[in-house]
Amino acid sequence: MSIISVSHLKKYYKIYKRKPGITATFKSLFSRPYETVRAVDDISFEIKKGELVGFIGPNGAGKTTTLKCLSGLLYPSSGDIKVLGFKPFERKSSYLKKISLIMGQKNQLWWDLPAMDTFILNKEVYEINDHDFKSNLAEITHLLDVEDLIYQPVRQLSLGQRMKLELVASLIHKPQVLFLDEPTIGLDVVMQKKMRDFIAEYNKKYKATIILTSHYMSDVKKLCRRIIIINKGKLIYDGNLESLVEKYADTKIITLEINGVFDKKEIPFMGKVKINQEGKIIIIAPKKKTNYIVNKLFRKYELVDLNIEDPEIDDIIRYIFEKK
Amino acid sequence: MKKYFYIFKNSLSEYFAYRLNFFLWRLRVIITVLINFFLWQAIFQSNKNVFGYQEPQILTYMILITLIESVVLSTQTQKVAYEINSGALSRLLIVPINFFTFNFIRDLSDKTINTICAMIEIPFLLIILKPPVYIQTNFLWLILFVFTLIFAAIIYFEINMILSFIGFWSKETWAPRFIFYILLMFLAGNYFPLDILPHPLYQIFLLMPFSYLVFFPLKIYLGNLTFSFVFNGLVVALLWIFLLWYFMYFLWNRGLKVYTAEGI
Repeated sequence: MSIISVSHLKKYYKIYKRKPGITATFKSLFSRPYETVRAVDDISFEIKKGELVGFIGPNGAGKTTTLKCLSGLLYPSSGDIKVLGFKPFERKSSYLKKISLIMGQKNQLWWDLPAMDTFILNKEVYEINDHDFKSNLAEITHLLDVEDLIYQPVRQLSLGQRMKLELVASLIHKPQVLFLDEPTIGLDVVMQKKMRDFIAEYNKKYKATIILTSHYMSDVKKLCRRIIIINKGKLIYDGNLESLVEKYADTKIITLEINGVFDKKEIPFMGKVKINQEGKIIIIAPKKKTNYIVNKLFRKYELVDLNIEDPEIDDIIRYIFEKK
Repeated sequence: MKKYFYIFKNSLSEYFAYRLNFFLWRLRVIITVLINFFLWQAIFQSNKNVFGYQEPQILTYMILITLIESVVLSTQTQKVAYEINSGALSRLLIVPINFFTFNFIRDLSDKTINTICAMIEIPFLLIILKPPVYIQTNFLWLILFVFTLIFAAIIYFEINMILSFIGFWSKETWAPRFIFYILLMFLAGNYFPLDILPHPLYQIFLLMPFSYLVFFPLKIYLGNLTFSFVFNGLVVALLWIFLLWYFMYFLWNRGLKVYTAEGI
């Protein structure tokens, strides 16, 4: 059973463009050329219960817009969305009680009050009983290590601290479906890891369905088995990480250390060759020629070390984006 | 509902985070009242009866504006425009809270705190200025006064919401609001009771929603009105409440469809 099903979702915006300068400003008083931006352009996918899916795409690809449509903030230009059997845009209370949208730059917390005041309000809004509230709060604040911060006015906290408390506020009702937009933005490395562990734990423990967007590939690599790649509003890839590598990586990276002098011209079809700071030779070889090249290397040189790897996922994804 | 109590409580606490702001707002209200008060006192020095009003009536009218400013004209709904444009509206859309109830409660906290202040300021003004005032003792008029205040607060809430919803279509929400404030000053009866105007003009004003924000409630407080005046007034005010309510929802539903949740 799909928890989330999106079919042929489109979201177009109208924006008006204006050139810089005073004359352009005056002109814009009388005529405004509008342009349609296809933020999301015919995207379909299904997500099952308990899946943790990573949304990847460059800035402006349509990731956040998709999440906003899923959480009912935006009215789709066309297409159908069903989440937990609800149409998100209707924003029924029973739907909103089961989901949460967490955005790196959004503040749900009351700015001038301690976070605890927001939590108590949320307790009533989501109709959580005293016992659950206490245990949820204790558990989440402990996991995120923010027990001491909940009684301080939010405006006095650092970005990272605030981010963690936003997460507490968004999870206090134990949502079944979670939309996470850049959950690790602005966090230090230690916190990024903690946050990641927390998301993985939450997913496992509550069988929660989670969609996550992130600029940090490490978030996605660590957390998501399935990824959806979006670029310019279109869906480019939907599947697991390993198959992505198989499908798109047409190169292998050969790292070697040799005794003697290396001459690039001795072996044909070699692709790009770099020498790194430690003196290691890095060859980005076409996948089909890898065997051939390695054979040749064995014959020609006295090898100290040899390593063959797939390219980094970041590189593959960059390659996909640049190609399209 | 407990959640609304907490919204009320949080709004109140947030209010006190900016005390200076609050005191300056109260100061502005008092200065406006004082200016009007002295102006009318000066007018009455040479006349006993101006436009059919006795001195105590007009001075009471002017002092009670403090109360009107608190109960009717204090609001936080102008924030909504900002929230729409900045995307902060999303934080309300994503939680199971009724948007209008939330805003009404937020306004209620604002009104409560301002009304408490007005209740302190009014006796203070009376002690210092020692003006001849008119105290309404007829229970009927007092009850009607309370009702018209509630009507006025609802109308003002609706108009402000509608003005804020312009934010869905334009970034420039301040200009229409500015025009509204100017209209409000003259058409609502902030500076003078509207019935001193030429009769045809006055009749037109009575058909507009503005006169029900300030003039109508105060006129009711002063009492001595014909049944038809009160009845017509209540009917027109109610009509406006329904009309504006419908229009407000209409704009809200339309607006949400073009809402872009920018900036978040």
